[in-house]
Amino acid sequence: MSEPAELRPRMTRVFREVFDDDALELTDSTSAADIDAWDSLMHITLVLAVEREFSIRLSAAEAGLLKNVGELYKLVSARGGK
Amino acid sequence: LDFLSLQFGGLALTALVAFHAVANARWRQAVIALASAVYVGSFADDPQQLTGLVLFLALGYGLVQLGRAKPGSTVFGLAVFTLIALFAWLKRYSALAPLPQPPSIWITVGLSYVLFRVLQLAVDELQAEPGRPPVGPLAYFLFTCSLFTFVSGPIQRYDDHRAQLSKLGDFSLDSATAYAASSRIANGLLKVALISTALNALHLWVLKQTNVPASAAFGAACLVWLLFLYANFSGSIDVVLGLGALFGFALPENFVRPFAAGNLLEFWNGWHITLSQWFKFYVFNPILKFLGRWLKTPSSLMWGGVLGYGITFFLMGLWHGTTSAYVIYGALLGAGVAVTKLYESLMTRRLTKKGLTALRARPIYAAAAHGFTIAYFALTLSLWWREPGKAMPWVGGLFAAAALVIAARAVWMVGSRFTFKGVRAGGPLSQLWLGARAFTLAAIAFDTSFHVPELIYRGF
Repeated sequence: MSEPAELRPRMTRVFREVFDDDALELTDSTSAADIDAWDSLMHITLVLAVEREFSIRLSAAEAGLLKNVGELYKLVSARGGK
Repeated sequence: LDFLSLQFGGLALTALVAFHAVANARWRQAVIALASAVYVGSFADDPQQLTGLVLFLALGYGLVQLGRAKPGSTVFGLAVFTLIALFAWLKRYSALAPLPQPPSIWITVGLSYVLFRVLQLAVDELQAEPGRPPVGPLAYFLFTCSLFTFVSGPIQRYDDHRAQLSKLGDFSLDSATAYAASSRIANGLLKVALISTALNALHLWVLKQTNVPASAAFGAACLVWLLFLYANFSGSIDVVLGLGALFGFALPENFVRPFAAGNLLEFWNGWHITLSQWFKFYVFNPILKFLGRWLKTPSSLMWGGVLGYGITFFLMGLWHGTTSAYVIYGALLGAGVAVTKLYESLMTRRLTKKGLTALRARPIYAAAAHGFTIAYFALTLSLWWREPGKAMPWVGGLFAAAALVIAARAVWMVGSRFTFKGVRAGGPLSQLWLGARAFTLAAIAFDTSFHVPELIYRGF
């Protein structure tokens, strides 16, 4: 499934707000290892912010299995994020 | 049937021959289903003994179908509560003692792991997008009661299970897979039959020592029992994973270097992994998502996380047993992990993630953190085997056990400088080594006087 055109800039904005870092740049391989504040607690904050931004609900397994930003893009695209 | 019995070997071998005789997915699913039914049935002398398990499976299937129908959260929550209450009643949790008890002949072997799979599947069905294939009775039975994972896991994910079931017709066993799987089965059986037996005897011997300080004996006994549990449990998982590979299943690992952990959070990333992951997905994350709607500041989120970890690990500990000792075990697990998370969060704020990583890499810090992590977990496990009336010097035992871990770590670090290249897989030496292990196992299986300890996790 192709990504909505606005997905990447909106996702970057969500990440910047959640992690309070205006300089944050995302690639598909960006993961918790690359962002200082991304731990198990911030992961859930991030999931909540993504759900709000794209009007979707991620299941418990989807939220838990996410490993990097590339997987998040795919998931939001597959869920038809608005 | 015990893994190390000729009957179990016969069942597995018969199933393996029948499975590979016809390259058809439906045939192969039927073979595994039949072998699984025989295996589950082998725990009962009379079919009536399985009544509780059958009732639980039937209600579980109903819950899965209810999840698929996507009812309101109140209805689904009540249904989940009912299933968990049935589980607690069947397992005779001491808190339910005032209630009428289930018939004494009903057996509950495998019930805990069935519960985890059913809850996982029902929640996934509830939260799935439309179009997810329905869960048929055969796929449900194979998921919850598979010959490979019924007794003590691992807790595989249903989507992986379904994908592997559908590809069974294409699976052909090559010699490399057969060798690796057989080798792993042999290693697992040896871990259970020889290593765990020896460690069990050592544990009993240490407990009898009176010529050393009580705290040193207690600390050492805790560590030996932890190693015994590891050999016993990870050995059974080796058997299961090896056996599954012979039938085309890639089951998830349950142990990845747990004894290398530098804190309790890391430890649970490598110990009983599929259980930890289950609790993370279906307890911790939902608690955090619930709290996250109100907790907006980093500080409140940190405290929410500490609370979430405490609750999650308390429940995980509580699951292990039905008596008050397991309530204390759960409380200790929860407190240990919550304090670890609090410390980690505060230190990350103060030093940043990189700074904390650098601190943790310092030799003295790393050795102390390693020692106290393993020692703390080993001490909490003493609630599983404690002898009533026997002294349990916790503080002294913690320091003694940590000192022993640090000493073992030093020996390990020196030893790891010497590399052993091993033998080429499939070569003559490796075949000889596999043969030697098989011969040892056959000798144990035929020796009726050889007593192998029960699989600890079978009791859960």
